[in-house]
Amino acid sequence: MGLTGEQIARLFRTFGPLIFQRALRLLGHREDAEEATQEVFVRVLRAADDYDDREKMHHWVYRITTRYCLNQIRDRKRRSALMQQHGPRAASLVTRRSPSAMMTLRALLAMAPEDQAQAAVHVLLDGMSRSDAAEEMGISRRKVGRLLDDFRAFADRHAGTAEERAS
Amino acid sequence: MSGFDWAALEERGPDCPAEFDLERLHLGLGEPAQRSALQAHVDGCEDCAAHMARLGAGFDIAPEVDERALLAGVRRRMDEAPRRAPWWRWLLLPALAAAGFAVWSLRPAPPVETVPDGPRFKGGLAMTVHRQVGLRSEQMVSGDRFAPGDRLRLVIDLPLPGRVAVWGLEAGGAVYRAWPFESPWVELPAGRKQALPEALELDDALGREVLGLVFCPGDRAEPTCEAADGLVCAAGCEVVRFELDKR
Repeated sequence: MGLTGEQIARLFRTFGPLIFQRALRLLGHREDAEEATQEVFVRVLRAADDYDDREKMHHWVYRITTRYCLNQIRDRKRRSALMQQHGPRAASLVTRRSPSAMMTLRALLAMAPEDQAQAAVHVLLDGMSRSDAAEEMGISRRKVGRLLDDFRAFADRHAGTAEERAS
Repeated sequence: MSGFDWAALEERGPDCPAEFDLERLHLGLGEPAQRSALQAHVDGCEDCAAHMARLGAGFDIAPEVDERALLAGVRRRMDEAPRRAPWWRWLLLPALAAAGFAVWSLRPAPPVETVPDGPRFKGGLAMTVHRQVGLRSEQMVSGDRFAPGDRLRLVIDLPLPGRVAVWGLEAGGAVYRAWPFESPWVELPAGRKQALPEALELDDALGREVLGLVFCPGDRAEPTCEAADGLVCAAGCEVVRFELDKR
């Protein structure tokens, strides 16, 4: 990667907290967010080709953090651990959302088809416009709309099961 | 059935900027006019102002977090990144090949496998990988170049009914189950060109990665793998490998 220790530390001071807070919102548990911070940051350094381009670096941070956390939520073994670790106090540091609703949502993100889950995170959690989510996912805006409709229908249909898994 | 409580997820108003945009504002990114407009919104929005304050606090929002320990962990992970093989490895290869041949030539005759009941067809285990590009897909060959985020569809041929899973070996040596997502394996009938449901999406770890279709005939063995200087899978199972060059 060709970075000095000081450069790595400087990049980490800039982007590390963004990764941590985002991971904490998505995963709901501090230790998982700390693990995610380290893993995602290393992946960002490997993926980026210009560390001085803060626009691109930020984009990598957002993209890789989202995918990493979604994979953690969807991974079967990790999911059972996440479901047991409520961590509402830690998550409440970065979000005002109801901890129980977030637990249920994590269960739904794990159960739903992958592309629906990804669209749901971008739009329903991150507040992205459908156009921005479409660009992020490399699909059309209309397709994002369909995925969201499908996810909402899926969530309404499976909310009971998801709540049971989350409790 | 009451459905999901969507209102419980609402954190900021419908006119509020996305978290991504607030992060950009925090980092000082974007055109001055964009930043001014965002800042004006934040100044008049309690929820977004609270979000910006959290971003400004960095790691301090969680007093238990030790930034130095996290950075040390980052450095440790970077040091663990692909190590170069020692130069003398190449001297070992001919010796290992000769030893392997000697062992192979002296091996006992293999036991006769009892074949599970069920339909059979001529042909062997196979896996083709198709990359989705827009609404169409293109068939790839092992060793092809891929990119993070690529979505792959797998189509397999099974000579017998049995248990199937797909495992991955990352460049860094980590092994993970790539498919199925919700169960350790799936039981499938014998047959050609069986498209596995759900697409795999490649993550952002770069380097040469291996996908292994693991097939265990019948119901005796479980198609699991572990990392042991490569992708090593359960006895009694066959593996078909496909290499991805992720850049």
